[in-house]
Amino acid sequence: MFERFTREARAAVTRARAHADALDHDRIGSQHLLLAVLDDVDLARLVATWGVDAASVRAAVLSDPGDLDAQALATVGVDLEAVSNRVEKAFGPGALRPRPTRQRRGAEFSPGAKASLELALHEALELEDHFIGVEHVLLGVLAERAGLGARILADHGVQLPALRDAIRDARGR
Amino acid sequence: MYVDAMDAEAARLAQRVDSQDPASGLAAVAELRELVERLEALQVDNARARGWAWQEIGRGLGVSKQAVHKKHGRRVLLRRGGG
Repeated sequence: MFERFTREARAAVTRARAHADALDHDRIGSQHLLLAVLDDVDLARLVATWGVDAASVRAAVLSDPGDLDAQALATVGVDLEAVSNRVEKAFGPGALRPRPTRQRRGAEFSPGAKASLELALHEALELEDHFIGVEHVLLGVLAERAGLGARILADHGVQLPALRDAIRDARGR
Repeated sequence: MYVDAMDAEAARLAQRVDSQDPASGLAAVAELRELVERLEALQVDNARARGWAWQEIGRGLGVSKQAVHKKHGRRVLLRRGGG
């Protein structure tokens, strides 16, 4: 799957693992891919126009209560955000995340991260590129709509067509 | 395509609001259980960090000290950088 990835894109995938490890997360998710992509100075500058930067992404990742389904809990009257806020006030950011139960051997890719990388290929085709670069990985993260990475970007108002246009514009200059 | 996905999401949400729908009710129970598991792990870790004995923690949770140690002992050890 990684044959057509540029050296920079491969390096970003490797860094995603480092970001997951640094955050003490068991799996590499789309949010860690997003953090890795933001290590690229040009892409960081590009998404900064939406107010997205590494610090805001990291904060959003830390306060995310993992993969709990807030909507399902709301149907029985439980407000996950309220529970999360209370617990974090007492125990710190990310307190509701699943706690590691086994010795870590290095994080593995989540299904969402894999889907993001597959969507990066689609985005390369969409932009008529014959390679997969860090910019396609960023688009792939946004295209995997269920992922935390995409949710963080969407919360800042980043949308696929606009991001594609911004990447085309940046290349034109 | 984007709009279609939004419609599907809205339809899914609308279905969940129907409290008689078993799929919705079961999903809610599954998430509640997961939430309780995480709160339990958090509280047990905190109690151990404060020096509580497994017996006291078991009493607090309404289970035996063996049950609570079997379930949480290994994780607490790992979090301390032991095991």
